[in-house]
Amino acid sequence: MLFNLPEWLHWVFLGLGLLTVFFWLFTETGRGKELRSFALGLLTLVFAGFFVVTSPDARSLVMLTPHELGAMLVAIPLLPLIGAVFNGLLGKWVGNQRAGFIATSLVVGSFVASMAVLANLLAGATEFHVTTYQWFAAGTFDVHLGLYADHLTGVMLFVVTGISAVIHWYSIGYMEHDPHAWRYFAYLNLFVAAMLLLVLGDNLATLFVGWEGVGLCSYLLIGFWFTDEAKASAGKKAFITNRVGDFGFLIGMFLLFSVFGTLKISGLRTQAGAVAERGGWQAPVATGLFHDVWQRSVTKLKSEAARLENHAQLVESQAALGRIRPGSAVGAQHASRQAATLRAMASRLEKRATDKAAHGPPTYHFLIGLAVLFLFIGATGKSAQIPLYIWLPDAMAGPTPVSALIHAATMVTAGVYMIARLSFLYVHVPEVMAVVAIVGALTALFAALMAFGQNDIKKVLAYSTVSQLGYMFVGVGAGAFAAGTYHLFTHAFFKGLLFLGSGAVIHGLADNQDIRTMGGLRKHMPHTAWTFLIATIAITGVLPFSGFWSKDGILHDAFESPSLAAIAPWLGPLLYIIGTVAAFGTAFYMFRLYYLTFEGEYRGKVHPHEAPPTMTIPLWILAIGSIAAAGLAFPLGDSFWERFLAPAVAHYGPEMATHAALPVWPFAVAVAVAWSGFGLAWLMYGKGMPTPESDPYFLKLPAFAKLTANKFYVDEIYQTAIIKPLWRFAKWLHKWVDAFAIDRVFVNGAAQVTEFFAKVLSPAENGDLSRYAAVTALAVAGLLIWAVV
Amino acid sequence: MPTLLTEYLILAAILFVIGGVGVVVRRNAITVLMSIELMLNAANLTFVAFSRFPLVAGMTVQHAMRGQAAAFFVIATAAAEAAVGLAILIAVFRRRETTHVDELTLLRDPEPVFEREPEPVPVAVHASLETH
Repeated sequence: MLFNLPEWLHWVFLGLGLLTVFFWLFTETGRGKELRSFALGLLTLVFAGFFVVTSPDARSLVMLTPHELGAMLVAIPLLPLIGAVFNGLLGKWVGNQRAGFIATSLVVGSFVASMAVLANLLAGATEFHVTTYQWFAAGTFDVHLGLYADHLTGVMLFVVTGISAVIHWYSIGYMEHDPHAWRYFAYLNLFVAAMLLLVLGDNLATLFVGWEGVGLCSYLLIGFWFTDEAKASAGKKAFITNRVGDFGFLIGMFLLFSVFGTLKISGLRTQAGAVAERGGWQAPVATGLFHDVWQRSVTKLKSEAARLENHAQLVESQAALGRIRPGSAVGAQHASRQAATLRAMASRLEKRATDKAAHGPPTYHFLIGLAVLFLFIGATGKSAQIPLYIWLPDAMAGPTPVSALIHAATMVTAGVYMIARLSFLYVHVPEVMAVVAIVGALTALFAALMAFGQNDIKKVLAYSTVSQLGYMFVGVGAGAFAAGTYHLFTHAFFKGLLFLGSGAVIHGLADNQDIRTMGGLRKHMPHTAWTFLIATIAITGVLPFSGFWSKDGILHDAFESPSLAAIAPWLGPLLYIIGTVAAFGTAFYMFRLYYLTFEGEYRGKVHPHEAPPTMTIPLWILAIGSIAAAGLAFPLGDSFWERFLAPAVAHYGPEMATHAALPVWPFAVAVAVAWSGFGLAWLMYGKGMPTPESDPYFLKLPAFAKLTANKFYVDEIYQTAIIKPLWRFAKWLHKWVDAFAIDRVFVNGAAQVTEFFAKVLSPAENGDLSRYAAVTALAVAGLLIWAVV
Repeated sequence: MPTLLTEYLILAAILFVIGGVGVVVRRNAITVLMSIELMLNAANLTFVAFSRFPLVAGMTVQHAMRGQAAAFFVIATAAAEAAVGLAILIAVFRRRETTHVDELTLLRDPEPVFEREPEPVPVAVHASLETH
């Protein structure tokens, strides 16, 4: 059994659960206390879930039959979908707070179902599969709406439903003053449903539905306060940038289908395994569109050559029979010349055919490499990597819980999940893996630098998210799929926590987001400050917390990655160095954020107040998660996490590099770097700032600070290089194609031609019977003459 | 070689043309009806002439009599037409106090319509594009 946590652990959870039940039953109830009782109820459920998962006896109780598991799998995305439909149609009438409760309860239901699935996975099951119904079929292309859960899915289910439940709950408090909160909850539920479909989809088409669905919900929620034009256009920016990536995703899917003839993940895995079995990744493709096109063109060239050859023979035989100008020397010569020309052409075609046949269609390596590269372009859009990361910082226009859930914990990790899900394809194309890792490392570095100059609390966190996603891509790109997804897991906790903490700060400061006018908030909002500090320590990778294990696991795996070494021996160490520099940056900007917000003296005007318990309890839940997630990294070198994920992800090369000889110095360097970043931030900001304008970073390094504050002018470069030319092109199209060609020439032109003929012909219609009779008589006479003569 | 048939046909043509010109140039509807009768009778004359002097030799009587029968049909139709036409004319006269065909021009569109320029197609997106 995979699961070997200490025996006594389930008694702890049982005790905690009983404690919450006790509080739930015996604390004061009444008006204004509903939230607390609701919170305690949820907490009980969570502890009960943990109890069930950790207890050997109780676990045997929740072992489900395959049939029941299928029902669970269907229920997981269906419950939030029901909530979305219900709240979307009736939310206006059921009221905002009740809509929030309904949404939260359904997500909790989904969480419970996920825990049941996860418990079965932990007990040793490897995968579950359920097919609901055929969605569509076209020729050999046949898509069933199937759901599939393996260990990777189990992890994602835990992250998505768990964090979603916590954030739904938090949202009830955060959105209590919003008159349209019911709409918000409908969108949020729809998001959870789409994300779960993305996670559970058993083929890429279903996954893509979820992929687009989360993009839609992201757009709806970024622009939730759409009356503010800046927020509405931030939503549009996110959507359009994602479209670019989604187009790449589609092309990748088409390529995969054209090679393997299926989009089912299990089918792709089988076929990829079969190709590897034949040792044929470098061989030309043996089936599919590219093979057929190649074969057809070879056949066509050959038959064309044969036809020319026949023709030459025909010309010669005709000449021999004397059919071409009998007896003429010129004719015979002409015929033999013509036959020779035809022969030459035939042999040229023959040679081309043999060349083409010998060359073969593109190799699996090339086509699958191209396919997964395009899929990765999709991932750069959804997961905000260079060059498509620009939408994520603007996406902070949405409500803060949305930033926490969609733009930090779940949706943006879809790209990492997709690559881990298709790891069995990626491992065969180390070139593309290297691209993934390089893009990830550069994103991690540049986003960390951009975070230096931001003064908006959510912007700092947004760039931090981009940077951390970069780490995850370094992980999956280096072939360390377990490490990459482990960082996804821990990041979901601490980044969700950071965003919720920032939401509590913004809530407590009457919508102020500028950290220059904060400071000293620890005294006013201790819960927020402490949980924020825990998350900050976790993300900077200070030793015992989860971020250290996940991030430095990635860096360590990148350093030793066999797939990167296959491209160039220096690539792994280089990415390690870039990642380490970015880790220094992470420590610096996170502690700058923490110190400017919570330490020193308060520099603002509004009186700050602590958030209500509906908001602080989720903070503590996530804080506990941020710390506890570190436990999965043990035992070192052969961690629980890696063993758990091993059946679900592929690995590069015949044998995974064992972690037996775990060198200590990369860890030591990482710790030193994290501490030095923290130290620098402490030196500069440890005492807080006296005034909003006295930021030492901006005073000491004005040029660089300006550069980072302006995000290296990337938005401006995109504006000049892409958006402006596009606008000019659009204007040109409008002026000449729409306004001139369509409106003037076709639409008004057709009307004007009709009008012209009408003007010419309408005098004939004068109502004079005699004239009609005369015209008729003349016409008949004319016809007769024409017919007779 | 002039035969009796040719002369009948020439007479019929003259009658037909007189009738046709009468239909076209006369304004009084009663005269127009009379001209139509003239044209019908010209046709009758050709029927009867062909029946009396068949072009094909050895035509049986049954065949030849078909022209005569057709003439009777035409006479009957002409009578009906005259009755209906006169009835219409009486009705028109009661209403309009005229039987002149050039005054009965209600079929014509009273006003010519294509006098103004067509408006350009209004497209809302034009304005929104211009603002950027």
